[in-house]
Amino acid sequence: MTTYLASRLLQMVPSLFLLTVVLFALMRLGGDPVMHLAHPEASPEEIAEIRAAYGFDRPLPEQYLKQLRMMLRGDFGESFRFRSPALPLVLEKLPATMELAAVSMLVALLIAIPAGLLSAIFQNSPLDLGVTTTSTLGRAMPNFWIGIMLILLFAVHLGWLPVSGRLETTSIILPALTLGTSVATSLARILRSSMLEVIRQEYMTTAKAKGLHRWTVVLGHGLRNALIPFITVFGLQMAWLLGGSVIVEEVFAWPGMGRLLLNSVKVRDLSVVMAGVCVFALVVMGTNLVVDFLYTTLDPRIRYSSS
Amino acid sequence: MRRVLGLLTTAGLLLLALALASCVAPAAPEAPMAEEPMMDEEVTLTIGMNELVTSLDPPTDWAIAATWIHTNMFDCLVWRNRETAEFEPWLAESYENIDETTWRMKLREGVTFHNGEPFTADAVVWTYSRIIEASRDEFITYNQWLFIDQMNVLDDYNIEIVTATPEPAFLSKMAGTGCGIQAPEHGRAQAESGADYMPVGTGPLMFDSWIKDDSITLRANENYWQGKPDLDVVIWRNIPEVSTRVANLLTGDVDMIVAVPPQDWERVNGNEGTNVVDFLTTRVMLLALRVGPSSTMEDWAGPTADPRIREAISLSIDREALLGLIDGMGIPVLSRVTPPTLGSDAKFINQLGEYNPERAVELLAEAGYDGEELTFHSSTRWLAQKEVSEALEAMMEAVGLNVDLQVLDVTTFNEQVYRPNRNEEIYMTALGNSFFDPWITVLSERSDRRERSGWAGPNADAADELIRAAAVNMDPEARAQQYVAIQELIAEDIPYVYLYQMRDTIGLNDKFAWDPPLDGFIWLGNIDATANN
Repeated sequence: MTTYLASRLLQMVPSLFLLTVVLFALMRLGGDPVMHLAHPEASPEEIAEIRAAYGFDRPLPEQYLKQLRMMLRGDFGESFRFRSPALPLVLEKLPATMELAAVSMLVALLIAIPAGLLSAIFQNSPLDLGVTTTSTLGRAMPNFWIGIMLILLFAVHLGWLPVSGRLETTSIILPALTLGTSVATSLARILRSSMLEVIRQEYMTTAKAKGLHRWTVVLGHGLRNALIPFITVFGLQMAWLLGGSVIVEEVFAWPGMGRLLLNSVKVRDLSVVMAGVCVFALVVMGTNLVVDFLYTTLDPRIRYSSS
Repeated sequence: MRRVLGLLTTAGLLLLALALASCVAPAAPEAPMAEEPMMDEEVTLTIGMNELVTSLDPPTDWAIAATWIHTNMFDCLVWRNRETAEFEPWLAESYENIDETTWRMKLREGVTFHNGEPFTADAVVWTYSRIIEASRDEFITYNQWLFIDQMNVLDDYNIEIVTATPEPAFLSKMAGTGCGIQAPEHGRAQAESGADYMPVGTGPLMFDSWIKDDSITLRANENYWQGKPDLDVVIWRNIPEVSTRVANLLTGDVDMIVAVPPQDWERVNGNEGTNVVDFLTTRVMLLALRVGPSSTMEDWAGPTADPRIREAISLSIDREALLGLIDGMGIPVLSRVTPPTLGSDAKFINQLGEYNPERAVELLAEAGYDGEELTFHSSTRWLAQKEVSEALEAMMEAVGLNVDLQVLDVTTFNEQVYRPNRNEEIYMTALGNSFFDPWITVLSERSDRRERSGWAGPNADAADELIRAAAVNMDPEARAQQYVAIQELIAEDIPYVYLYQMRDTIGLNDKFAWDPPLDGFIWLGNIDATANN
């Protein structure tokens, strides 16, 4: 197991390296940061002076290698927007984003597990139809629209919850509902289909024949086996959720990494984007690693070895 | 079954623990909570902005939000009264222009910085010398301060500022972006320490806390030389999504918001305790037409090089219809020099201009126009800009022009068209003038700065001479006439088609009595914050 863990951690290195190459290329080929640093009326000579001062006049591979050397030392460089080191800026915002991600996942699980289970057990019933229709609709509705609708209903009309920000404990409810419900739609659908598959297995019939209670059969024998694909999708949804947080944080003025990244991309603040995306990537990779180990808990037959 | 339930419970607890850990993890200082008991007795004004400051060092950030926040924290030597547009003594108690290039200023005594340092001439020298002795990449406002040649300290409260050439816009620049005077001892210590530079000013509001990209909290300066402001705490919150910002105002979470869109006016005005106030900005929406090639577009040879095509474009535009598209949020203009800026002229302001599509068709025929494509770059930066761009495209096509409209997002427009001067036949943008002096409105048409227009010919040469002469003309009346003449030359050759001067709005909670000044500038030193409480 330790060897497997070490090998998985090592696999992250080339992934992160490739990520930085792609990110650097996209950021530098897709736009010119000097255009945001210079005065709008700056002459071509003034622009050239600023380009040289920041080293943006050097060949791109040279710029990338410089950035890479710095990153290996844990220094992502300085944000030219804030004129301060990029990594602390990102880490300062990480708790808010992780808080939102965790509560959103909790919301997603609380909705998806009962919905998926009941939908499978009562297949083709009005309840099943309701769950599948709601899932499809929920998946089709964009996050920002759901967010604005929730604000209008719960904050403006009912006055139950704050509109935006992270000033009160209840501030997290609306953004977490927005993100969580959209993740829940995918999770509920995958749980429904895997439960339907499991329900038809012979060991389920055997359990029923043994006289076990219906819910004991469903939860003890069915759900446990249906959870493997569910957990896989749960892990993958973490990436989707962090991506979605960019929009949700903007709508709800939530002071997390998503907002910081969005504002940094707009002005090609490469150091911050690089630091932020690397942190996001580590979180996603870490989540997937945890998911892999959850498989062994769910199904003791699964064993990992370095080969 | 127990194992599964246990697993689910563990997963839930783990998520909860993560959430709780995030809550207690060390983070940047939070903005004060509205319901804290201590705050109940304090008058707090929360402002919902669409952008926020990125630096607390005034000359390094010149966005509108930054200028507002800086001006509340830092005083300048001169103040532009935003009711009368006149310049007034501020940290300089008096000033006189003793010769064409020398300004003698008597500084106000008894003023202290927020950290207790006394304000003296040393502060003036520190503030401006650190800009002009730096390099261009350090300060975005660097060019604006190059007019200062020397600063001669006569004593603690008297200083002479010598300009490199006669500088008629001296007062305008001394009250302009980045002018805030900084505490010298604190500044020097900060600069030496290598820490993030956080200067200290003498303004009505003092720094309290800052969550980058989220909010900045300022507290009233109890010792402000004009008396403590009529409030205790001001929280500037960054709420970029407009519908969220409006919802915050409606629920009372914030007291003031910027840029209320027309579709929300009725809702805000109909809501008890909130209203929308509008004001005229200095921003003018315009079409810039490329007249000739420039160093960034050396091979350009488009149809708009022909003055008849440019005139046809101008005649094809129905400004009244455009104003309808923006719900009347502007007035029609034929120039960028708007009142009360020196040189503004009634014949260019509140004028619809000639709309004559028939004549436009004739001009295209005279020019032998044969359907050559005109690339029209626009963005989505301003109110209904996409819709206005599409209407303009339709108006131009209605007279027979072949227009290729490309509406870009703001970042792409700035990076690929506007900033690198890669504009083709037409581009659309709005330009303001926070200086209320005409020098900046025509600077781009000086002969060494025509990268965007490529304007050339006798009128361009005459305009160049006038721009250079007006820049050093210390006689305000003669200078005003020079700027009027420059506007006439532009109107004749049409490198620009001016569309409308834009209005803007602020949504306000009734408990604060505040009339937006001339350009909507949010300065809270004199807000009557408790009038309706």
